[in-house]
Amino acid sequence: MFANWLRSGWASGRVTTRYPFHRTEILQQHSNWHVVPKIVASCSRSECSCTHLCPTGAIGKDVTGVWLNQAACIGCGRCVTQCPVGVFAWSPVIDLAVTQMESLRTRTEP
Amino acid sequence: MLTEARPLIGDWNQLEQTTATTLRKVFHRSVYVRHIDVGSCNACESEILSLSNPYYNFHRLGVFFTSSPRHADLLLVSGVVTRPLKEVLLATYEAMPKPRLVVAIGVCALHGGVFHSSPWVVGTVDSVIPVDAWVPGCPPTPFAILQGILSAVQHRQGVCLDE
Repeated sequence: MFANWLRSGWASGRVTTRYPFHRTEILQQHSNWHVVPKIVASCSRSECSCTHLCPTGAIGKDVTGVWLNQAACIGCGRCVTQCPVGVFAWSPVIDLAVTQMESLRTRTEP
Repeated sequence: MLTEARPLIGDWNQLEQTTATTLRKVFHRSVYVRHIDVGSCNACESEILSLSNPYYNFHRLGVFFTSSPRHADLLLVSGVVTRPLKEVLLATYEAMPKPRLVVAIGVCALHGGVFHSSPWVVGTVDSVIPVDAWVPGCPPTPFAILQGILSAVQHRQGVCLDE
């Protein structure tokens, strides 16, 4: 491989190398380019409120559970780090575009 | 980074191929995209600019940027609609020939994001003009923006063409 690279470089008059020479970790995991919070557990606690964690009002809570509006989520991660129950977790997703606004809203399973 | 192959994500290649045929059915040749910023923080603009670089390279699908709304088939709107730019957005939309598509990009355009309680904000993009596809994310990745453009065109195929 090294000899081929050197020979082709001499033949064309300039010896160059590929940059970056080694694939970085983020490029090896293309699916983790973009992560968004996702509801992974159900929550029935009434003593704590997770709606105040969200700066844009993407999280709502009522008697049936927690809902998350993906259209308002800016990915700050406060819900993931500060929820004591662990309702939210990072989820790798890259194809987020939708043609129906309602499909961006997710709920906990009852 | 620019010398590496494009990432293969799920059925992305199939989506690209079906959309490439859909593009020719709906718009006959190619789609020209006009981007308008109606109050964005320029993070979405940075991602939109990445669409035309050699890595994402949306020209291979027949999608191009244009500088005039009169030549445009699709309007990319980024940012929350502010009071001074509402008339500009409406004028841009009126200047586009039919059939025209609108893709709203970013959390600000969809919901308002961190600016939703500002007094200089009129509202979301779909409260001003009809929107065909929504791309959430703050900012969305260029792949998500490209998927938004493609799904808007695919969605339009099932709708009446002369609006």
